[in-house]
Amino acid sequence: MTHDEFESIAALDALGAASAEEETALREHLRTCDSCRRARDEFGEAATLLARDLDPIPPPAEARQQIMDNIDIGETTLVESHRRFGGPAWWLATAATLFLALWGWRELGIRAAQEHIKSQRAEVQQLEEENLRLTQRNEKLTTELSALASPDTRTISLAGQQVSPTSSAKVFLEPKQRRAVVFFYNLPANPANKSYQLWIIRADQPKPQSAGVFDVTSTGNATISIENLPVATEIKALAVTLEAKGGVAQPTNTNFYVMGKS
Amino acid sequence: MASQERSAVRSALADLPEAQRTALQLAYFEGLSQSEIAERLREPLGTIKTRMQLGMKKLRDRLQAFRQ
Repeated sequence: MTHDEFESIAALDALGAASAEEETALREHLRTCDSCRRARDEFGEAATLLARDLDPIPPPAEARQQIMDNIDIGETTLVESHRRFGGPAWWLATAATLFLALWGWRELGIRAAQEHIKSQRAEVQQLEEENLRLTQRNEKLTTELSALASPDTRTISLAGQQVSPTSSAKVFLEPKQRRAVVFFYNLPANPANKSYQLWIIRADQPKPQSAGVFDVTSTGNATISIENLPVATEIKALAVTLEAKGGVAQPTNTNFYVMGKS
Repeated sequence: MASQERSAVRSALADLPEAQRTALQLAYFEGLSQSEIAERLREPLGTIKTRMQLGMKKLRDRLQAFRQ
């Protein structure tokens, strides 16, 4: 068989109209012939365009009946039908594959967008939390700054004691607002199960009163704000002890780290 | 481009002789084999085969020419 003859078969094959023998011979030939394979592809493309541009002709009644009859016959008929409809079926399969690919691509796009939205929401929530934290921090700093800047503010210096001679602290006391800001310097890092506790020794009470519990950073520094100070009576002194984590009701020792008289 | 291509194929189809176009339609849309088309049109099998081959080649050539 010549190349021209194979090319003619390829034209029929693209329409699904080649006989079984022709189809087999063509398949065998296409394995080794590039030019005929190219011709087959070109015919296939032309056939695809036919599908788009030819108006389907309605099947005659006898053909419809023939199809209905064939449905009831067994596998042999199915194979025969497959051969008959093999031509149109390949482009239908191509269209279906394309549709599924596009659908899959769209689904993929939707999922990616949903993931993106989820991620954006998480980021927004994280930023809101950070914003809240910074707002609270800002309010605290503003309060501390106003305590430091007020003309009525008194300062009390606390000096390091025997257990920690290099430590010190400075108290900025604002009596009108009954609050104070205390800065601690060079305190030893407190153990994980211990906390520092600031005590106020008042003139009207024999026992010290807790003014706050704090931990120090690795640099040995710390800052605390004290609200509702008992300024109605005289503050005789302030002192810091190391206590159990979270603080205690009364000091358990007299190893003062810093201490100062008002 | 796609619409121009479609237009070229439509034009090529219109230029095909009626007998070739009918053979292509019967093969493509009704899935009839060559012998069934021959039987339907009461034409020799070789004639039908030639019509289909010529019709497809013209379509292919027109498409190739359009793309070049």
